[in-house]
Amino acid sequence: MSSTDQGAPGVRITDLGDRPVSDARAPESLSERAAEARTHPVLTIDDFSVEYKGDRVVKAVRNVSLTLGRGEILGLAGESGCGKSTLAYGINRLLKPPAVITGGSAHFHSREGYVIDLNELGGEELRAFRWDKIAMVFQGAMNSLNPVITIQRQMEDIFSTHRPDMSRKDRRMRCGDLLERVGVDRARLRSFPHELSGGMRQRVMIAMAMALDPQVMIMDEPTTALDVVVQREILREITRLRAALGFAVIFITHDLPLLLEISDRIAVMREGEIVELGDAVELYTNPRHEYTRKLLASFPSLTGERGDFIRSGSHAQNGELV
Amino acid sequence: MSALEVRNLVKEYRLRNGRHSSILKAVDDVSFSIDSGRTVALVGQSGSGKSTLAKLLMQLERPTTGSIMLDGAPVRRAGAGLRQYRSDVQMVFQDPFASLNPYHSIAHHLGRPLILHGKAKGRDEVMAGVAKLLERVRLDPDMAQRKPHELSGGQRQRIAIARALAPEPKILVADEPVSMLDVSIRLGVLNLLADLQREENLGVFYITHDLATARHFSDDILVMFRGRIVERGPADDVILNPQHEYTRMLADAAPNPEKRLSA
Repeated sequence: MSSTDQGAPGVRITDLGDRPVSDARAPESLSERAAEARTHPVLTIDDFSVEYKGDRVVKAVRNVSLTLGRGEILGLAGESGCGKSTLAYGINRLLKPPAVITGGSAHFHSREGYVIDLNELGGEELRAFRWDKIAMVFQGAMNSLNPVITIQRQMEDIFSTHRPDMSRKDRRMRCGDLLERVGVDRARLRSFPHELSGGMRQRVMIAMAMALDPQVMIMDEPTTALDVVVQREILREITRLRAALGFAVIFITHDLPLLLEISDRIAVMREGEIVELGDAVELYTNPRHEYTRKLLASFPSLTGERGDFIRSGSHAQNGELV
Repeated sequence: MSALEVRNLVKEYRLRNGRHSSILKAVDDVSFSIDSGRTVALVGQSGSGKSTLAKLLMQLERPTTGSIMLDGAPVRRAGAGLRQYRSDVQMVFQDPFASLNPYHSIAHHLGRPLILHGKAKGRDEVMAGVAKLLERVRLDPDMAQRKPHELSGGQRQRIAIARALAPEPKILVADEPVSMLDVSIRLGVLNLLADLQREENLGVFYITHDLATARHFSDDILVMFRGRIVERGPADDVILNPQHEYTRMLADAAPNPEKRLSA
């Protein structure tokens, strides 16, 4: 297992990138990566729907179709209740009743060339698939570590479950290596979660998600509880590791400026539907859907014109433009 | 013109670790003033001492040394003087899901401060006051009979603002008032605060870690780092032309799509 450390998957990406883009329908404005998503997908979601069958049926995800390219960072933006987390849980088959997948499919395209229909997986297959191929960094990850056992025991759990043949010595080695990869001292293996800062706990969660060298990482609001400086460090870490290891990321957050900075493509979700999907720069400079425009306008620009809106906006209402 | 003035404020906490003890200076020699009709933003990372400073301003903690003065008079620590200070300086908390009591109606939340601070007497007067407060935060007066769980996050935070306005304060301390709200309604709440500040000549102390809104919604910005104010000045100057290394780091850390375009 430790041989995967050497960054071999990274080479694969560049290989794929060199192939000609065959899909003629791809709009010219989309970046190369967006085009690559069509030709070399790692995850394809077709017409995916999820309903919460409670007293009142709620259609949380409505006919969502998405393609995640190999090594791509896809941002999934939307406000609370728009279905973005439900979609992520649905892909990983983590939904619990009353949530039911009512239609559509999700396929995983392994780098080894085979395709897995996620809806068909069950029991042992599903358990083996999760974390190994698609790993997840959960919302509020800071609180999802077990408080009464050490970091080491939680991390070793992954290997004793998914790689039962691994020796204890190798497991220890690997856990330490993983921590170092996310910039945490391996001496921290002996720590309990409460002895780590929020940022460090988040790094541990990312290290755990990377443990089995997954091809897709789903990150559900991984930095929301952190302050901006720590958030910046974590984002750098994610982009660096993505470049080194070649996994694709679905990054879920309501923070559109953050997504615009790190993602290749962005999907904007509202009331269970994807209202706009496009290249990140394109979406920022030329948003097509009204809701995307509204979301973009919700974030004042740090360095842009001050007169954009807000203070001037409310002045304008009173008819006394400043 | 009234002003809240803080001079050489220090708050120390004693940390005990077994037999050893050390002192943490959560707020270290901080001086500034908030004038009516102006918004002052306080920015800094978690743990920089922002909330401790808010607690000191609200008289929820006692300063180790230094003074807080309102309109030139030192703040009383008890009795009628403290009560007067409490009606002059009010606070809006971060989490509107935790700061409203789920058992009580909106009318109760807004009526009680009116009664306690002697702004209204008798049922009719109180209900009229409640309706007026709801109007001031641009909510339907019919909302008075509802309970907090029937309201959205943005509506709840407007209730929290209305509650803070009830004693007719001169200064409003808002500690991360929109960080728990959905992004599309944040600006609405901030715009409301800006309107109130202008219409009622309120002094607003806006505590946040979001530099972009700090810049757009405040006149002056104070940057706090490890209990000290390391930089201060007009909002645009501090953000666009930061002098202190820490301010530069904060500004660089904030997500900024413009950076990607210019790169």
